[in-house]
Amino acid sequence: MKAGKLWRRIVLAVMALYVLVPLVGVAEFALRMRRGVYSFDAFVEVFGDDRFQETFLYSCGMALVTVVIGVVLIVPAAYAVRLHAPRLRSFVEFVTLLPLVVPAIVIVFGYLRLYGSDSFLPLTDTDTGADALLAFGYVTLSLPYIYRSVDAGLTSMDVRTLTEAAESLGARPLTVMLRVVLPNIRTSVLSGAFLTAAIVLGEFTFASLLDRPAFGPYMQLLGANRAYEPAALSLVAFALTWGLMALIGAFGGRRPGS
Amino acid sequence: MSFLTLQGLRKSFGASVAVQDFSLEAERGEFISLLGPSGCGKTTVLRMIAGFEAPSAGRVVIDGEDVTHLPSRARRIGMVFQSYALFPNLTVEGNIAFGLKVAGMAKDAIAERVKEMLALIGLPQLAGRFPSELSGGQQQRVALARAVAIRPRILLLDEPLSALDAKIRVSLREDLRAIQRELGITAIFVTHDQEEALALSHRVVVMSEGWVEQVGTPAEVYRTPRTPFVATFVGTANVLPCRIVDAVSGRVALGSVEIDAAHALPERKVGDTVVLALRPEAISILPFDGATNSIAAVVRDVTFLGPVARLRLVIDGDVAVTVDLHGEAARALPDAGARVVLWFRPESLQFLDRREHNLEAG
Repeated sequence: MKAGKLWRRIVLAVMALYVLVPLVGVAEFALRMRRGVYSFDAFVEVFGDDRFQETFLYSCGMALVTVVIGVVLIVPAAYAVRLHAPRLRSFVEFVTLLPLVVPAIVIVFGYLRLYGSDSFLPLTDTDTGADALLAFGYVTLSLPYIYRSVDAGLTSMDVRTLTEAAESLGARPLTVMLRVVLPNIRTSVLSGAFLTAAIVLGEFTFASLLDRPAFGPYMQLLGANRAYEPAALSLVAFALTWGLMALIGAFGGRRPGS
Repeated sequence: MSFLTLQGLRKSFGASVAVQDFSLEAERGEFISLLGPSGCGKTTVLRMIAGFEAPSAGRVVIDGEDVTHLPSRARRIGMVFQSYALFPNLTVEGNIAFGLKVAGMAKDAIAERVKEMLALIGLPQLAGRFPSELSGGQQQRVALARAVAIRPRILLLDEPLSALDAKIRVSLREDLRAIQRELGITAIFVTHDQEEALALSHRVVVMSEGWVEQVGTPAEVYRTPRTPFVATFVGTANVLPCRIVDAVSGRVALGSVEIDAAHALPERKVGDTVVLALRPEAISILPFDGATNSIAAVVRDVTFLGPVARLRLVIDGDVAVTVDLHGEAARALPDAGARVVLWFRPESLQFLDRREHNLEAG
């Protein structure tokens, strides 16, 4: 075996151990809830917990709302910047990256000051208002992921020429968007959407400080009070994230027309 | 009244002016080429007709309707792009049907029109393929079918053959011409390739630096170029600065050699400088001296190009001249350094204007 090949295998093996050993440890611990034997009791406990189902469904709904708002806002914006204001592209990119720089806790305290009980728009006073605020917060958090995915998708197609081709054939802007632009960046939009969903499902800061019944705070609560269930829950969360990543890979690999 | 009227079109981008005072009238069914080098403004003119660029000044009138301020979608034009611009998510059939669906045509009528278009471009067997599964030539045929499927008033072609290899370019060029003639559609074709422009067009508009240099039939533009730019851009030409010796008979001096140009120049006087164009193929090499317009020259180099041999010579010490010899004349070529006698007909000489702009084609 050549030295280069051997090194590659060693590096891969070390990487695999680094990732897998903690997971195997967590899994092993999660299965030891019943004294002396391995069992799925911790998983049964987690799945049987009403709060798990409630918070999980709430976060799934929130992820869906976030993705819809994000796509509706960001796809036309990224398209418009590319078509009509290409010079603004780097500025817009900078703005969309801000949520990665500004800590979530700063953003949420800003929200509480702006939309708290004493403000001109007290969104936090009602559940619906607080849900809306959480969704808007999640859209802000997802900006870097959705914008960059969409922008990468737009880079891969000749947006201007395809738009002009469609317009010359009589298409209105909405038709161009729905029948030309969106279908051709579908994989990018889906990648951004799944990434956003993965982030929303595990998000803690926004949901906790806005006091919403989301999956993130539930995981934290469980972790603070139980032993085996949090290990089972973290494996469930891992599986969810991996599932979403696999979907990104599946859709990302599919080319239009294939 | 003309079918397409472009009146005083001007386009500037900030301080830079892309198109200056462009006027053109095209008849229904006419094929007009806008010919010029990169950056001469030809594509900008096309984009103003299409509605993708708003003119800074001037009007675009199609079939009596002023469309200057109409969006592209309302102009009923068909456009073929250099990069094909087929929708990657749609099949060949879907691409051709796109404009028809947008127009709200009935399903049966769409299917019928798509079938007709596929037959027109000779690709009925590829209806279900995606653009990524087609060759460049096939993609451009589909783009052409998509553009004409909506029965546009004008077909705009933005260097549609430039991205194709030489053989396919020639075959598609012939098909393009046949389809345009068959449909009787008015076409504006942008190209930097003079051969394409001459082969396809009823008229050619030669452009340079945003200005129209000359408008005419391919033969006019080639045989009687009006400016040094046209003479050298369309084909090859010897551009010879001369002094007038006799304005009435059209006798001029090229350096110290006098030649007969056979054009009376009543508006010029003796000693004025004029510029003449002489095509390389209009010059012969004579075995003797003494005929009218026979000039002694020295061969600098000889290049064999297959059907033609190109000679570079010097007249009168410093005037460079190119001569193309064909057929029998190219069989026995002189060597570099040889002294020869050049001859040309006086009527082969073409007087060139100083740069004149604002030409309008009727």
